[in-house]
Amino acid sequence: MSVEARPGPGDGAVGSGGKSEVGPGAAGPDPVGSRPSIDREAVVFDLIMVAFAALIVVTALGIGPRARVVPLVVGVPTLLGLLFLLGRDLGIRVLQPRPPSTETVHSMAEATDDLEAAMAAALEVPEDTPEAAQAARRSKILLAGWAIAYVAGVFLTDFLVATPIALFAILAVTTRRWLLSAIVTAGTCLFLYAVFIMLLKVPV
Amino acid sequence: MRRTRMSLALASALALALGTQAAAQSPAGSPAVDGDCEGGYPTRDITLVVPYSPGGGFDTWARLIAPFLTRHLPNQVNVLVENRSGAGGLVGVTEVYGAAADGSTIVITEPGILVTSAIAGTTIIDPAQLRAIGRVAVSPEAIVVAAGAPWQDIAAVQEHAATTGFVRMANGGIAAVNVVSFDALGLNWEGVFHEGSSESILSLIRGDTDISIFTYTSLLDNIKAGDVRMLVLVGTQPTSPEQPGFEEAQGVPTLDEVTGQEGLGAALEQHRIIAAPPGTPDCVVDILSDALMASLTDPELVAQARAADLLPVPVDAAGTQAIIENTVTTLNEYADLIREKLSE
Amino acid sequence: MIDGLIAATIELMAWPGPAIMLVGVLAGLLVGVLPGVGGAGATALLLPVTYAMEPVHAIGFLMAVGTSSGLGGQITSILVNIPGDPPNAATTLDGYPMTRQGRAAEALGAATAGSVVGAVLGVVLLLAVLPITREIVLAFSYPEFFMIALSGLVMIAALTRGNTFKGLLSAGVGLLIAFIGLDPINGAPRFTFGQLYLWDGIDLTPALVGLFAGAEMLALYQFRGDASIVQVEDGARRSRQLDGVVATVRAWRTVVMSSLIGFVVGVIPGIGGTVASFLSYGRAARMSDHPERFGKGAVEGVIASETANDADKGGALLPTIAFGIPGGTMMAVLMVGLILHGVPVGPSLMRGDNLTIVYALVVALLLPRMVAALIVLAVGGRAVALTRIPGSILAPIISVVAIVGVYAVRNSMLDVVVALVFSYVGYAMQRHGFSRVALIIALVLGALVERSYHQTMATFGPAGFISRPIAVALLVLILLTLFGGPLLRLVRRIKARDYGGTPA
Repeated sequence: MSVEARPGPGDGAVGSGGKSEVGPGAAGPDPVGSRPSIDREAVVFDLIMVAFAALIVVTALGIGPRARVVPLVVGVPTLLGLLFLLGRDLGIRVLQPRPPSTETVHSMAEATDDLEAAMAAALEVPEDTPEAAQAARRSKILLAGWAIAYVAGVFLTDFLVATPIALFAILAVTTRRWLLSAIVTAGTCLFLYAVFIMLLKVPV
Repeated sequence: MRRTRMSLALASALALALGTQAAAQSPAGSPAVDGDCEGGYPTRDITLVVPYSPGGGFDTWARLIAPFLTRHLPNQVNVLVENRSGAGGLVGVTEVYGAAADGSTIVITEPGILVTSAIAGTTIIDPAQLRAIGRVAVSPEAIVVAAGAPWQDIAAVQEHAATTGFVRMANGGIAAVNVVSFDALGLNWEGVFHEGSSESILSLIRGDTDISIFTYTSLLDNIKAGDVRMLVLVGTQPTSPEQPGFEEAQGVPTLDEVTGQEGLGAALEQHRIIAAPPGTPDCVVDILSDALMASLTDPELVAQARAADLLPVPVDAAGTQAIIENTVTTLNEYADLIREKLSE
Repeated sequence: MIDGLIAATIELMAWPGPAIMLVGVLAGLLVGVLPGVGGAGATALLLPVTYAMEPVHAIGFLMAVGTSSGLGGQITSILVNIPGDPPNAATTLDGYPMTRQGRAAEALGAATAGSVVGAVLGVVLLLAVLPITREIVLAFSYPEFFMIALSGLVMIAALTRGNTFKGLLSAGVGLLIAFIGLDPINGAPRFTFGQLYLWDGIDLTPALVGLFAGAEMLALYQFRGDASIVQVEDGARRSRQLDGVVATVRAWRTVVMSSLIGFVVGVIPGIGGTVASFLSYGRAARMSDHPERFGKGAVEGVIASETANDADKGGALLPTIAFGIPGGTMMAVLMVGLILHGVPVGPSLMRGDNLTIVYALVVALLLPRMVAALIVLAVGGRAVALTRIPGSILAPIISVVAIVGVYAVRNSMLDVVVALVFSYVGYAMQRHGFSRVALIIALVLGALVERSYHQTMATFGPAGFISRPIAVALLVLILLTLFGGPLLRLVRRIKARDYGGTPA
């Protein structure tokens, strides 16, 4: 069903409806994975998902005979599919790789049919230069750091203390405009107070 | 509460150690703890934890009682209601179980669920170690069939089960109350899981399942509406015409009457109790219990409760501790059966 | 019936009725705009406010809060890709791309018009089947639940065109996440790894806030810096809300179909607007002449989702009226409210004097949303300015608002942690071509699929799936969704050959 909607030349959309798209043939090169070198980030994410699926499948083997039926029916194929994906992202080609012809270019255009991919592509900034790539990596680490620092802050102090501090800190560090950051933080807190405490009377 | 949760593992381990020690000291199982209340307990606010979301029966009771507890406690400290829902009530009770045993945190719960979980091995809580403060109210459980079903009494269901081999029970999971009461009735059953009582009742009305058992008060509206017929009351008959569902329960046999097993129903019905963490000193329990008993007999509370179709049926600390112990002993006789049903 | 409705309207509009409902509408819109606490949660929180009111005004107020939150939620869905309320999640799929193309006002207009028509059609359907409510509710049993859930999962294939392999894997992972919690056999904990928190499963709200809002904010913050959401240059023509309204009228077939889907899904207890909007979105994408436009700013996508998640509330009232069994969380809260006011809920509602309550419910179901729609139309145009705020300021603010919203649902820091984890998961999924939509649909439907499968097997046996008319009809629809397209093309090809033309 993945191929029915497009009048593609390539592999001829005629007969490949139905369930065959689960197979490797129809998987198509994804926009990120089609880079020549191994995408380390993609591999890490694949690994995380493989680990999760494996954890569920292994755990399912130890539970009641009826309670594990559906989890196994879903879990085993998902795990196998993810392993296949991991292998592909690692550069292992089980099947003949498609020749990098005009067809591939076309398939890539098609791949952006996927609404998710289209949105991802829209957000993508060129990371052509090593400097840009490094900057992107650094900002990624920074982003993860914010979340960890925030959660740690909440557990060390209190939700109501850590949250405004985190907001101010992020704003101040990014914009380097202290007054603006303070005003925005105060405004946000005031708004949240009005909604959650005064209107909804959420118990805190 | 947050800092409490962080040190939860440690605290509950300590509490467990304390608890077992206390149990070892008093072989009867009553976890009495000496201690003195110098400095005049209570001196600061008391948190009454409701282990369910706002709006349910336990929440309604807690919010009803809290201001009256304040009124009847020494020093008139505030009693704050806090909802800590999750895991069918276990999250809130587990937090209180591991909280400081100084009477600053108490919980409203029911022994049946805790004992079932303890038997299933899904909780660190030992229900017998909780310090009972008092019982607030009690509701029997009701075994019901659809109004359109051919069975007029439980004997007819037993006959049907004898020919077909089993009945289909709409349930919300394996609980002691359904395993034990159906075993006592000699009914072989297969469970059909539903999310809660409403969907179970719908399945009865559709005729997809044969029989179900839920708390009497939660089924009352459907019984009144004539959608389902009550065959057996598991627990005690409502004794006062002011009790919700008094009229509808007239003439319905109790589980004890049907099976001839005296006291079985009392271990299965839903007791709403208030309890403190293991190791709470006797003098603290006494102060809290006195305040609770005074609250539950306060005419103003009784009037407010009646307006919400509720009736307090108070039992003091010692009596409530006995209820918990009776539940533990009775249900543990069926421990293997419950575990067997759970592993199916 | 008309007399009853008019009488109920007069009673609801008796002073201070209009003021109470207006406050309810404003509160509903506000909590709808904010991610986290949604309409159902807000009705629960605001329930105590109604204690002092007349029963009919309490109905008006609670209905106003609960029903208008969806109209607020569409605003955030469209403008910043954050579903304010889970039922608005499907609206983000095309609403947000429209915003990026500078068509935010058109999307808002279409969503509002769709909501209004959906609300009206939902109520019309409700009134039409009022005499046979019990029969309708009883017609749906486990096999039907299963087929409805399955048809939702099948939509995943339609929604991940071009990368179905990764779409199916995303759905698989979503299902596995959905299986965490109590098993649907004995109600025993499963995949919880000793954590009480996991007993109740991964809650939809934090997962959704993370996958959509969180991931979006990470991307916005990281890549766009001073840039804002809207991509088009200032010189481009700004869209108008009227365009959206016109588009809705033009897409009347989608509107009718989506209302039907929403209504039927609403009847089924336990599932509601979220499932309805995804089902209806998928169906619209399937039936469209231009399925490739979906996900890239197709206005029909916005219309389908918003129509369905407003029509479902008409259906959700059926089991409440017929059996006193809530068709959704909001109805459950409403029932508690009614009982507290001494109003009998359940079958007795349909008899004699109590019929006025039914009519009051019906009117209160419709009236506040009309007011809410007017407010959204009036304010919506201005709210578009939000999308021009630089990402480095907007992203932290929205993140904090979302986190507080998630936290407030049940004061749980672990919910916030779940939302944060899903933010990174969503971000990674987006970057590496996985489908967040597939994961969410699977997460929403996973429990229902498994539960209804076991329920069917325990009562009807395997024959249940193919022996009941409604289940079979749904199964045929599913098969058509899967294989209908290729079949149709085959027919066309043969026809074309007959006429001597070349295959298109």
